[in-house]
Amino acid sequence: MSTTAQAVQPLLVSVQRLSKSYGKKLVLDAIDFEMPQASIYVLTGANGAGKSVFLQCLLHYETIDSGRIEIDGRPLSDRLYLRRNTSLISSDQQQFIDLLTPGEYFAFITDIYNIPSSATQRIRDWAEDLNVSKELDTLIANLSFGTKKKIQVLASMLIAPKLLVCDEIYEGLDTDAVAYMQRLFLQRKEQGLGTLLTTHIAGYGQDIAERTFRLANHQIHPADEPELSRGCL
Amino acid sequence: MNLSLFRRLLQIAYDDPQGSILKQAVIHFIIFAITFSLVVAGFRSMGIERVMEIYVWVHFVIHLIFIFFTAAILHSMDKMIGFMSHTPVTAPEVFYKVYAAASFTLSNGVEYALILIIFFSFGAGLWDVLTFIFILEAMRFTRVFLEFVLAWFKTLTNVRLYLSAAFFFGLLAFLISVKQGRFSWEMLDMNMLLQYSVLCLFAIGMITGPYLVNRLLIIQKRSPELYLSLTRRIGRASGASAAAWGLQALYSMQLMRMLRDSAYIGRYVRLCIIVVILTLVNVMFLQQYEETPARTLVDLSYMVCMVSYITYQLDYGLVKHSHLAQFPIRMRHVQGAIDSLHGMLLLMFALLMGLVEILSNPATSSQWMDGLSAFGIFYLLSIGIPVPDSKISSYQKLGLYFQFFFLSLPVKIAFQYNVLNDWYIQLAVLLAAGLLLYVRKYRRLK
Repeated sequence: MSTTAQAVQPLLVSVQRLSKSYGKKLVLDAIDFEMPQASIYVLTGANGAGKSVFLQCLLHYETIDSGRIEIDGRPLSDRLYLRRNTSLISSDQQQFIDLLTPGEYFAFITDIYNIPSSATQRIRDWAEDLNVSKELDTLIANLSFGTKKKIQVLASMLIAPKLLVCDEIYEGLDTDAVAYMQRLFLQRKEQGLGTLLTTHIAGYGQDIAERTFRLANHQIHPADEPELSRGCL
Repeated sequence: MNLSLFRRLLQIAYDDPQGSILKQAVIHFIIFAITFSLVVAGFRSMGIERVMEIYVWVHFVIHLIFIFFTAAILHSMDKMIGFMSHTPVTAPEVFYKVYAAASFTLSNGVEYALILIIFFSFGAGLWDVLTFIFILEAMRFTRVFLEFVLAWFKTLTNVRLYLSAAFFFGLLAFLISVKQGRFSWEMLDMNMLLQYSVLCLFAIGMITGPYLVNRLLIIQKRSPELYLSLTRRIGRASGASAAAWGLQALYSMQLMRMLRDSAYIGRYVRLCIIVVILTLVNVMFLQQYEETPARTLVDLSYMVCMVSYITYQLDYGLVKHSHLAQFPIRMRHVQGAIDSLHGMLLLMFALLMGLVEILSNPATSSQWMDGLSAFGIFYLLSIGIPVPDSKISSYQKLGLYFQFFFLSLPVKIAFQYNVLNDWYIQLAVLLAAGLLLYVRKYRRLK
């Protein structure tokens, strides 16, 4: 089924007939998905439905069997553009940062993305807001699950990508952090940036999202029906 | 708390309420004591001193096996420490009573009774027998102490790395003494070495054992701040050299991560150990003292690059482990950073080994240049063979290894037969290896 966004805004994400399987196991079957700029979309689905695989394919961390994906009008083959304008927050994507301290990681991000050095003070303020300022010189591998996620959030705030993809973002975060994240996503929308969230717990994030989708039976469906947008899946 | 009550606690801690492990140990030692007394009776002609020496060595092997089983398979000490930390037993009490529980057993009583009967019947002196029994008990005490030490090691991060590094430096020191002719097998009295080691560890255990157990009972995860700061400084200093290309952040961060990655450094230490052992075998058994320093340095470069190729290129996947593809950095730059940093770390080791080599056989500057050129050529050849990103089978690995072998062997032979003596020929071969690397690997990277 095709899920077409309102035509008024230019598309940030365009997925056509995306299929992905591992051996004989089909995970994604000819998926069509579109997401406009300046939007917050939520993708729900049961454990093992294929949400994370979809995100990995979307950001070219996984190869696809067939189909076409464009981010901000550019194909995935334009790797440098893709990496410069997207960011993924996921517990599966933390291997890189484990051997650095948050301070070193932010310094690296600042250099690689050519972010002005004035961002150093901003990151300290944000770290204070998220209650991780005391952890900036600790090896990330030694931090708790939730704190690691907060570090990834801070790095994404620094990069301010056109498309921010968050896989199970609320998992492991405290109530204050969840509220902070909600405000952040709304702020991003006001700035004309897009955010795509996934969750297997319905109700999380849908209150700020324009649209909610459900990944089931290898397909993405709109989840506008009331019984699908609230309660556990 | 008396010993029998402590023993009951130990049985609960080991999750061994029926005492099956202890029963097995008792049976084992009785069988051992009877068998060995028969052996002693049979080898009366060996002399009492020789029998004592053999007896000590047999005990040594049994204790080693015991340590292996308790530390690596049963994890008895970890279980015991975890249990005892919730009981009102003091650290010295735990330390000494664990030893006492191991020592005051029926099997030991039977064994010592047999020793006294047999040795006195062979006419051994009282002082000799008492010293002998003391050595056996010191060995048991040392075993218990080492079990605590191993349990403490497990609480440290990167313990295998520290042990491997210590082993490497020990080997290197041994290699230096062999190279300088200070060592010969005749000099080693293994019996004395064993006895002195046991006595030293016994003394260390007596002093430090209770403190070690105290630390284990209240252990907390250590934060390696010093290592973090050291690697940060090294990374920044090395990254400065790449500033001209705007790649300072990439180089400094990647070096920092390589130095902190126990998987990478562990392989590096393993590589060093393999090369030192190969060199030792070469020096001690293949009699290559007459070799020229140039040839030795070329051989060394070949060995370092070959082991690195097998350890890192075929087995590890340096680029894949860098996780740098998630950043907006050209893969060509990523590959270049990893290849040059890894090469730099290998070169440091090759230079260290070169220094050890020339301790016994000083080399001229041109011989050093030959060694460096050889290193450059072999390294470029080793990184120039494209290895698939996906998991490769042993069969594919063998094929890839032979690729390196067929590319590098002619160069090694050419050095051996002085074909590559002149600097301009070496430069030409180096450029050819660089070109091959570019064509086969870098050209397709974006």
